[in-house]
Amino acid sequence: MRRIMTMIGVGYRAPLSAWIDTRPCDCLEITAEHFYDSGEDRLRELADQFALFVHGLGLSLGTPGPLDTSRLKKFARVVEIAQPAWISEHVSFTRTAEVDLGHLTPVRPTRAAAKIIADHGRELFDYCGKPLILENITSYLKIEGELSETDFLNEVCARADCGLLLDITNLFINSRNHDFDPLAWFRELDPARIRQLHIVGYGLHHGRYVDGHGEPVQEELIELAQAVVNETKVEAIILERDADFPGDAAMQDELTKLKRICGRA
Amino acid sequence: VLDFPSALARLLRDGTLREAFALDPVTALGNFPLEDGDRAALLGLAPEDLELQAGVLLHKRFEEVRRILAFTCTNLGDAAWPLFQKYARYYWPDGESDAWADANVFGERLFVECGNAFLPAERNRTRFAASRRRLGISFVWKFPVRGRFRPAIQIFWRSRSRHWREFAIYPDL
Repeated sequence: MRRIMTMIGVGYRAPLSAWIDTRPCDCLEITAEHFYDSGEDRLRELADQFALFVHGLGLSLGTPGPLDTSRLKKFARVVEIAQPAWISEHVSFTRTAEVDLGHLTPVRPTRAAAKIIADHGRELFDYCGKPLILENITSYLKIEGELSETDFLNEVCARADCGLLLDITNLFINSRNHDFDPLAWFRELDPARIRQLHIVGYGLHHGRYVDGHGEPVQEELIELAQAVVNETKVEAIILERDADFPGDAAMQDELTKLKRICGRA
Repeated sequence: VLDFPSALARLLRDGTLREAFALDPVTALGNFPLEDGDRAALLGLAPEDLELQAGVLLHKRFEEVRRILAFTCTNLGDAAWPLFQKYARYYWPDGESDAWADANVFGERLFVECGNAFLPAERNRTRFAASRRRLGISFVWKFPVRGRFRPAIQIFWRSRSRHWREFAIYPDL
């Protein structure tokens, strides 16, 4: 596989703001919802200093019916300011006509569900005018459908003509909780679709692997990410952290691990 | 016909329904107008996995509420999460996610069950946030300022755009 220059960055979070101002990385991933109601000036500052990607959590692409216009407009406003190379969302739903679950929830892997997500993905791309990549999620639920999870992701990406944001930690957690080989799972994906990786340490709670976004990246995750990077043309790796923020030096160490994966340290 | 996400969301938001599903899944989903494939997929879910997934959602709600009721939850200590679970397992606000409304309902239940733990300054705040009032003024003996409590007058003001702000007047002891 031809190697390319892979950017290393972090998910922007307010508690990391001072460290991020020291420009420790190539790029940042902005969570769109964090800038929906305020923070446009800060977003402009960041856009002046970094290559940005805009990541959405709440557009609920897997919900049948039209996308929420209000959220779509707010998302597009963030994109307009950030001018990202691409935008991303999840292969999931967070909301139905009755309730807002407020969390990424798996859809049933069927062709009909793939069409719903892909159609919404195309609508998002048309509305924002930026390439879209879609992310795999973690779930305790094992939902049977017409397709395997990997075939489902391939079908969604092919129908939407979009890329894949492979969350290494979500893959690893699912593989442990549902007892499958993460490398074999990854190799069932269309490698040409994978443009970006997410990574953060996993947690353990009562014998189950959990996605708490509050742990340093473990060695097993680095090994899995290395395998993915070796076999794909990943363009960016984003370190996520949402809880138990360590000091600047520890964050820098995390980035160094990721640079090593790409032969940059 | 009920779509799969809506049916799954009903199971995840409703502790009573999950308990019925664990006892007898066919009967629990009996009234759901589902397509055959969706019904089979839901019946194939392990009740313990559903509980775990629902637990993730509850914990996410709790994190939001804990940010709003910071002092109250600190007062409650280790009891905060079990008390929230007891409340939230059987109550999920309809419509858009609204952490302030969630905090208000949880707080009012706390006030009934263990009133002393609910900091009045936080109660005033959540009650105003959940209301449509334009103005609210309250006096409290314990208002948190830089790690200490002061007597204070809390003033809440809501603009026409429905955004609201809080001002506090307290002696600089």
